[in-house]
Amino acid sequence: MNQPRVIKNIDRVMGAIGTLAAVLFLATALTPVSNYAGSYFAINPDIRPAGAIVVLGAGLWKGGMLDNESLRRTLRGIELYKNSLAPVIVFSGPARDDEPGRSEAEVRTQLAINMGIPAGAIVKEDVVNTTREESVRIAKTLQGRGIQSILLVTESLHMRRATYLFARTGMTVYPVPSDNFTLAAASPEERIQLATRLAEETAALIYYRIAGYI
Amino acid sequence: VFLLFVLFLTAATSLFAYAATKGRRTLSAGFLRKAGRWFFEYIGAFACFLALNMVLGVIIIVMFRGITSHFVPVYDVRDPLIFILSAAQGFIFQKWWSRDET
Repeated sequence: MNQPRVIKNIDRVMGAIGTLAAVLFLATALTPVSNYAGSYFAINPDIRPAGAIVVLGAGLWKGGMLDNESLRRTLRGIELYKNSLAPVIVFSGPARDDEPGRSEAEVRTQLAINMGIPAGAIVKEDVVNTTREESVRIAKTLQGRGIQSILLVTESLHMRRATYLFARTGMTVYPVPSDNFTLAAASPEERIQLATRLAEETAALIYYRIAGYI
Repeated sequence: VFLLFVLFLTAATSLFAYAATKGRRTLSAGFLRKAGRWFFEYIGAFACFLALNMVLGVIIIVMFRGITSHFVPVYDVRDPLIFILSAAQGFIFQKWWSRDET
């Protein structure tokens, strides 16, 4: 029976793919290649007074505690507010499916109030699931209040996609990354994580482009 | 330093395994070459299954979100279970495919 060449030589094909994957893995883990790629991909902070601070959602653990990234973003937003860079702060993030009572936005709001931010300065957005939904709903809310510029707080690698989305709604966006992962990733494990996030964000950017969201 | 430590650990346990089984099996250079080749073929099969599982997972989640009002994060496809099952798929596939050689 005649088989396609690729099937006939599948051992060789797998061997070649495996060698390539192993080389890529070792290069990613043991060299700063993902740090360089991340630095190229990330957007530098541009901190200046704006109409509002927008803190995008990241995740809530079971039991109502913010996950690490969510907490980092929240603290960055609170810091910006405390530095009087904007009079309004928006906290985003839905509730978990298995604990619908309390949303990420609600937990963040409570933390901000406990840290001295007046409740009247906080806007909660807790019915959004994707970055695109966040951009559309938050922009609509803020534009309804006459706000046209935002300090956007999110993860450094997520910032490019988020900035494109908010800019598309007509907002002027000043990016404020919540981390410096591209510099901080120094161990093989952290570099692999960085490369994984880069791959995810690149794929998401391509998908958003194809779907016409950005 | 960490890399040297890891290399030391793996070399030490390999030597231990060799010493513990010496006399029961012979270890030839030809076998080591064959094992190295098989290892990379296995890594290739694992990588292919992982990529296929992830792509299919993303497509199914995006379609599911499109036809229902229920939200499922695309990030779910990076669950460690997918890595483990892809590794198992790659192992079994490679064993099955190369069964005539052994």
